[in-house]
Amino acid sequence: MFLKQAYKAVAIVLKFAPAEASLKIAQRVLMATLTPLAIYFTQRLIDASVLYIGGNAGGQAVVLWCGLLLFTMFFRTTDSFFDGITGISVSRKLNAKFTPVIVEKFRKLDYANFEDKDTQDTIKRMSNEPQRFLQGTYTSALACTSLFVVIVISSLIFAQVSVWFMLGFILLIFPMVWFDFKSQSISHKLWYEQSSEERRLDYLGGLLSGKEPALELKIFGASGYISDKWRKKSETVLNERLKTAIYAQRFAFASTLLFKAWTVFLVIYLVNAVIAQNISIGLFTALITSIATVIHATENLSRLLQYAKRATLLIDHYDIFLKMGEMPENSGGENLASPRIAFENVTFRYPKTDRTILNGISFEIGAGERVSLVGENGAGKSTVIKLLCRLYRPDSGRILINGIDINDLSNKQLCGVFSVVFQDFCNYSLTLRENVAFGDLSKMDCNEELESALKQGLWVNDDIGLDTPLGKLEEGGVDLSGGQWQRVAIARACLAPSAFVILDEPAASLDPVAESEMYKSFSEVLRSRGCIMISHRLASAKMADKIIVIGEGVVKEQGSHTQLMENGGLYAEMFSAQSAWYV
Amino acid sequence: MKNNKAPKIIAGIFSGLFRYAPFSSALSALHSILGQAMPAIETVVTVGLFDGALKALNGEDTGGSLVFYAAVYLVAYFINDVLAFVGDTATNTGVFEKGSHLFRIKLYEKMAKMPLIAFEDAGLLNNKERAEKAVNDNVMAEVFKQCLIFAGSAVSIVGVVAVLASFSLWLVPVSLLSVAPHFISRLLRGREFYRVKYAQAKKTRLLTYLWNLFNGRRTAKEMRVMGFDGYITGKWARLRDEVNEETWKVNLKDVKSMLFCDAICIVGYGLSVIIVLLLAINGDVSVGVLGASLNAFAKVQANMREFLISFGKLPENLSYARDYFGFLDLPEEQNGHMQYGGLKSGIKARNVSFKYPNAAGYAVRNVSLDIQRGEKIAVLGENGSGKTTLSKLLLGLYPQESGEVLYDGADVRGFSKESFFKNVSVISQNFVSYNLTLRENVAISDTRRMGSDDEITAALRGVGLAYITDEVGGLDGVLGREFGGSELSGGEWQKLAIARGLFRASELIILDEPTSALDPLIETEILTKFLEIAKDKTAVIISHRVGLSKLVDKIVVMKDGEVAETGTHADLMRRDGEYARLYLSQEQWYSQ
Repeated sequence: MFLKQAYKAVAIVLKFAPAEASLKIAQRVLMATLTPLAIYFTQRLIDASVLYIGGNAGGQAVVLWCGLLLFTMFFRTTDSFFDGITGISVSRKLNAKFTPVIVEKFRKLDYANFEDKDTQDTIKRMSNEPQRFLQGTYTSALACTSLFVVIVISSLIFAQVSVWFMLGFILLIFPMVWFDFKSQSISHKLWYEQSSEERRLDYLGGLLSGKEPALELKIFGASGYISDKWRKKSETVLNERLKTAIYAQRFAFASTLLFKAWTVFLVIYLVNAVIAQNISIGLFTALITSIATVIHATENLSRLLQYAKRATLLIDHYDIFLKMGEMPENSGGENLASPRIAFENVTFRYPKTDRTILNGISFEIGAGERVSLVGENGAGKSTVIKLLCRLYRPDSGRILINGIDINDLSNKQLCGVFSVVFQDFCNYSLTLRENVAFGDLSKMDCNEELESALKQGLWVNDDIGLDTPLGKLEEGGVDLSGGQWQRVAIARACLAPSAFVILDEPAASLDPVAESEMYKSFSEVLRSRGCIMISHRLASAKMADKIIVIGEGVVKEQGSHTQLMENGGLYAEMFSAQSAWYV
Repeated sequence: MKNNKAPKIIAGIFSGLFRYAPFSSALSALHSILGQAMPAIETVVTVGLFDGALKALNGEDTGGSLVFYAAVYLVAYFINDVLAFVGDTATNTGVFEKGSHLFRIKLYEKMAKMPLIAFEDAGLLNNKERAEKAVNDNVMAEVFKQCLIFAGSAVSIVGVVAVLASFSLWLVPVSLLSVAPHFISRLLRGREFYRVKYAQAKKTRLLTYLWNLFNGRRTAKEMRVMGFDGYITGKWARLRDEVNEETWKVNLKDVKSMLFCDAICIVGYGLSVIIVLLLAINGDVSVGVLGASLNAFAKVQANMREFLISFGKLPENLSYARDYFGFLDLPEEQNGHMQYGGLKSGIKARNVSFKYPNAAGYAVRNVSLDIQRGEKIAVLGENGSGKTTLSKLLLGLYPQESGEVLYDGADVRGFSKESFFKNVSVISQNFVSYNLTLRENVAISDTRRMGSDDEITAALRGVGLAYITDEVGGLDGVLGREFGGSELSGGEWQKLAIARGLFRASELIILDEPTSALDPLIETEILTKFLEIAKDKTAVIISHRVGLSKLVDKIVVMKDGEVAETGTHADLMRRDGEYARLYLSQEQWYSQ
């Protein structure tokens, strides 16, 4: 039941912000009693005024009830103030105490979670201001409770007429709220959740409004085809939505009818009571006035329940999130001198997939060796890198560095062995200094070393200072081209004092001339270090000490360029195919 | 139309909605305005009800007027509820659903008519995005609704005050007393809030950015491998504390100002209650009026609040609506009148120069070029040398700043687009992978032949994709993971794009070579297939590969937007210029 989850949110907030959250609960309950009290004071005020006007009583009662009424009114208007104060103190506390818990968890999360399809929803949910949603759930759970209090206390006013009256009222409230809730559930689904048809519709809309499709569709004269398709689908979707909307309105209507029935009953009862002279004018006024209050309360209650229902999804995700696997934290260990790498019969398939990527692969990379990994698309080259970086663990077999299983190395030791430029490397919208120094934080302030790393990455934009913000985040930020960003990423890897630099498709966004310059530079820079490179431009393989050709999850052949060309295997075939286009 | 005035936009929205969904819009408007007469009626009826009850209780009559007013009360509410029900249904379905649907159709129709260059103009793109947001967020329907609320609350306030005036003129100033403070507080608070939002935006943006570094897949990967997560956490925590404290201070000030405003409002309300009470005690108004007034004042206050809220929301929504209508008014692509009958002798570019919107330098400068019918041309050059831009100029897709592109001596931009493109096909560098059926992925380039299975199969066979038909479940199998179809590999998508380009019967074809990472075997297969199929056509191939030069009739080398050299491989090697440099830089790595 979602209410249980909603109150779990209350418990979580109480845990992180005990004082602030309790204060807010007290404030909500206090406020909840004021609404029915105002009705009651109005009742007494009118009665007292009638008596006073009729000369049957003194003015003190008028002053008293009027004073109380105004006092309640005033107190109720301070509601938004106290509500605001308690709200922002809770949110301040959650920002300070709750968000770090989330960040810490994200930091420790096993990398596989980021690629797992099933956990994407949870990660997305926890990424998007979880503290705000938590507070929203908490607030709406409280608001539901306080509205409930309003309704219960209001029913006490009815009890002045008869206890049966009160019970009838309470019994009626439930179906009313339910109908309203149901109607809103349907409309919410309509407004916030997309059906698969609607996603298709959006996709077609994207084809009509996107830049890349615009060129093709214009020349092919196919805009009409797509827009007809869009229009047809859109009409189906629209009709479906109209039907649902009208269906939802039925429940709203049922709720209204129930309320109408109650009103008719109430009015007839009151008129009879007046004619029979067993009700005071004050009570009569109060009950008539209460009609509006009640309808307001039930409407709000169903709306808040609706909100709570959606918000509690977050609590589910929060539970799942906290249970997600973490990386083992092992620290310490000496830096490994001149590391050698060995894959021993490593098999691997990605979690929850059927395809075996690595099928008992074995190879060795000597200290300081320059190695090129070659293979067809999807052969598993990038997977080898991910395993080396311990982002995933082999299903069987071992990966050894100087004879030690990499699972037994600390993060720090591993960082000392590898630095990486991934195929999908990141561009940080921070300063150039930070972008480079992320390779080795201890050099954050060493301008000379940062600049020399940039030079090694073939950075040529000397007009951009180290402290210039890059990217579009800040107004003065300099946005770089794909090739320039790639150079920054390479500089980052060069700065790291690692024994090996791993480059996954380093030249993908460079043209051939820039590419050949890069290879030249690498052979200079990496003279003192080992290097593992993946590239489809096989020219890069020529400068490697060893080429490892991967196919069908194992090593197909390995050796130097000359050896492999002599072998006449897959590598020779690929190299000749490519060189035909360049010479 | 950028500076459209609000009334004009609102008029546009109303006329649009009344045209698209006349019945619903009318019902919605009727309910919003008529329904707001209810508070006034309610006031009259409650006065009657209370006075009737009092008389009955005092034994002054037998309750006849009480029963009468009770009946009126029930009937009035019943009518109101039915009206509300019908009105809400009309608003939700007609105005929001149907109205927005039609506003969206207009937008898409407009987009199809925009010139391609519009996609390169940041200002226009921004305008487009805001226009799309206007449609997605139902902004036009919101404006409609807000205007009605606006009018409705005015009706309600005027109605109630008028009714109160009929009981005693004193009640007019008294009710105004309960409303006026809202205006004052609105003035006080409106500006404050805006300032706060603006000042914090920059830091919050950075904070969100840092936060997202933790939960993105790619950044998570780098952080784990390079080990700089601590730095980001530290930076994030410092900034968060800063923002948190600032927000706290600002919010505190905000709620304090709110308290002040609420206090003014309640004082106004309190005063009016006391005055009415005194009037009742003096016998100037009846007790029924007293009871009804307490309600009526609250109602008027609530209406005033709604009035001001919808007034406050209006400007933001209007600014989106302004962009929507502004976008619809943008100039559309000029279509020529000349019919194009196919290339007879050749294409000539004469001193063509072109600059992207808002760009400082020329992307293509003073380019002259001759392409004979049936020739294959290779355009070579480094990244950013203007190769792709030139191809778009050759097709008349971009307007050149100076110079001309002539087909058999006639300006390319003078042809009717339809007749011209009928003879052209492209395979774009950024080709589209349609998440549609296999059939559509091929025949989208010539939709009239969407039903010719044989030709589609032949096109697939031509690029070596024949096997795929069975794998994806026939020509009508859906491709792309997005909607549960079969996902193809990068190379297969690329071959499919080539099949698409070649399926279109054309005499001129442009291949803008995809640079994404394909392994050498697939790459070779694709290029060979293309050259084979384009045998009888005029073809322009944009490439990095100098090796192509042996297979084409002419090489055009671009550098910094200009044509550096033209000629055959042998010519250009002799010149020892840009081509020779490109060639040698590649050759050194590939010669054996």
